[in-house]
Amino acid sequence: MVSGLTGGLSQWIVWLVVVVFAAAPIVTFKALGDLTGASSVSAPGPSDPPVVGYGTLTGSAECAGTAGSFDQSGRKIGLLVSQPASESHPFLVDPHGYVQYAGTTKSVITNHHWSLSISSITAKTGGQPNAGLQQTTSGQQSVHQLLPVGVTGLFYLHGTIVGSDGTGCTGSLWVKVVGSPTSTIPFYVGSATVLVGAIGVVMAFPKQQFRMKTPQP
Amino acid sequence: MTMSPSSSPVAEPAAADAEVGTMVVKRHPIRGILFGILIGIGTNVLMVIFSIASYKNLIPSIVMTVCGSVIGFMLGKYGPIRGRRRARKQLAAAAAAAEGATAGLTPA
Repeated sequence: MVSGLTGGLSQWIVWLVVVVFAAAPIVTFKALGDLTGASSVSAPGPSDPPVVGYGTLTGSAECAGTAGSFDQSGRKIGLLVSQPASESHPFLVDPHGYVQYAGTTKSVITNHHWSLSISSITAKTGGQPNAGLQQTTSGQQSVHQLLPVGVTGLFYLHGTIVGSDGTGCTGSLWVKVVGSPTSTIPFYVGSATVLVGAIGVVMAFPKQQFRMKTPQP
Repeated sequence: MTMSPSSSPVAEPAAADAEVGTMVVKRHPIRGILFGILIGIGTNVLMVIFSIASYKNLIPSIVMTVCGSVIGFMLGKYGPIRGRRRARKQLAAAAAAAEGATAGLTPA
């Protein structure tokens, strides 16, 4: 048993460590996000060109595609090009903005099933018979519809589409959702969870108690 | 020396005992694990939204949560002992009361 930790001074030191352990992430993250922008979740400046992000697209159907992301004022902040996906070249997305996309396949993919995963967790699935034998698609998607809860950060997206005859494509990319992390619900949820956890751990410390001796009959 | 039976969650006799009662130390390793997991999960969430951590899969996140639970367990089992002063005061009060009662019973 570690009984050396029971002294008065060591007790204070452990308390200090626990408080720092709990407070450090919150203070550090807030400082990083608000002061230095080192968390690099900010969008490019008004005069900056859109940031180029890389996305991998491979498969037997010979898929190709591109996408552009826009902030809520309609300014283009991100451009997705076909390059090997890289964490250092993410596709920037504004949580209040939208994404325009276009894609083509050389082979027709019929009776297909598609799935999209975030950090290896399947987020969405679907499929269509593609009776019209379409080989192109394009459109616009509001980011808020996909992410109703405001969130920022860097996420790995992986998607597949496979037809009934086995033809299909696989794609992956890193997406960075820009914005202020401290104004999102997950920031407060995460902070509260860390604080409750820290208080709970302190309350879980061993406790000395005095028990009265029960009188013998 | 008065020995006391172990009490839930984990109790063991401490060195400072008295005839009037026993000092026991209650340990809370399970509580430590649960709250350690909370710290791990909360830290993960903060690291993700600040882009400090980005995961291709959930393994680093799980490792971090497990580390939190281990730290919680260690603190719950072997952390500093709380409530020593209060327990000593209770012991002293009980000893004084017992002494007073004994003195009252002794014929003059």
